Amino acid sequence: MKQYAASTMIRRLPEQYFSKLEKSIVALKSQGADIINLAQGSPDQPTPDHIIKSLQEAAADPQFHRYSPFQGFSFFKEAVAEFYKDQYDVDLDPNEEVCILFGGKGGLVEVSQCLLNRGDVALVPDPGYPDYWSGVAMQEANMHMMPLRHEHGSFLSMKTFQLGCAMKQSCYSSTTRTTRQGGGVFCVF
Amino acid sequence: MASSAFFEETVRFANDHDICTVHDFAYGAISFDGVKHPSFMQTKGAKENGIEIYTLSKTYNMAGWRVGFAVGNRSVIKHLNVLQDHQYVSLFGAVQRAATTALTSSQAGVTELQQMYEKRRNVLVQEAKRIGWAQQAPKGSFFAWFKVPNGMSETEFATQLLHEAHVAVAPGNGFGEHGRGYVRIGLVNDETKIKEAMSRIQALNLF
Ligand SMILES: Cc1ncc(COP(=O)(O)O)c(C=O)c1O
Repeated sequence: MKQYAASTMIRRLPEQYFSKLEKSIVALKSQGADIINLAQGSPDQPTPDHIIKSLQEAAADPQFHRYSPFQGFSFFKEAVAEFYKDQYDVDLDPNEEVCILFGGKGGLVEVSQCLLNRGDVALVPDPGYPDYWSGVAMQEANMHMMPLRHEHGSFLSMKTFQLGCAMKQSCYSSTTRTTRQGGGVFCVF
Repeated sequence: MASSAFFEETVRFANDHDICTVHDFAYGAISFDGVKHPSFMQTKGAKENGIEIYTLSKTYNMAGWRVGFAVGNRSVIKHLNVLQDHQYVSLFGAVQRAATTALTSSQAGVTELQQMYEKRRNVLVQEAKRIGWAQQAPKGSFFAWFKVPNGMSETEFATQLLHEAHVAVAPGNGFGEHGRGYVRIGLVNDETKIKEAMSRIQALNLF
């Protein structure tokens, strides 16, 4: 079989650290070990029945067998606006301020693809969810880590990033590239 | 868990430096001790400066369904839509219909889910105390971070727990340099399993 080389973008993607752990767990289980997996992050409970029923009914509806509108159905975006109003008393314009995502992970990667250019800086919490790194790597942008330390009540210290950010800006001021306009992405979890 | 004061400081900082803020609100519905996580969008100026990413994965146990949404800054929402126009034609409409049902019907199940995780959190913290493993109770999400004992590395420790106690924990360095010295333990097992895991760890006499 021919071996096609992966693109440099694929080769830039960070290693999926937890796939190794997953493999060890599978290997031990296949030897009959009763493993309690406290490492995983997938909810163990089923989706509530009324949501499943809603999918079942909708699956039979021919309107959904055609292509969806490009940017999703407005009934869903209106539901999002309603949800934010009920839960958080936040007003959202369903047409202009809501975008449907293929899971949160999809959005976290896409937002980097939308905003970052090669050499830009993204401020990323450390420790953080590894999927924050993927889009940044695709775009050949650089991560500047923001430490989350226990003594900060397990949260962030603004002073640390202000210092970090000032440093990054002084590095970049010597080049023609501007990192300021729309450049940085800054995630918090 | 981010406080409103933290969000205000974030908006000020991000606004001064023209940095787009992205708030990952995956565990928005899972908070403990009677405190509800604030949305970043509740902060004055947040909608002008950034976006929030919400997922149905945790709130409604829909991780396999792959559905979420971004809200906030109009220019970023527009760019996301343009990118998606080139990658796919939105999600299966029936998934969008069911997601609508999830968001607009009674949220009683979400409260029950939050209470279930809180009970598990309490069991985990109690059990950790019982076996002498110092631990701060998490205020939200379904994860707790535990310090690795006896100056071991997180990888050595996780490997030992996996092979000798048959308990898998996530070594903290998988989440970044500052995760070193910690392991992450999830609350996605029932109380009996959590207790059993802690007893198995106790039997290794590491504390
Ligand atoms: C911190 C964090 N953010 C985002 C996500 C994304 O979840 P999903 O892609 O299922 O919406 C997860 C899921 O594990 C998570 O733990």
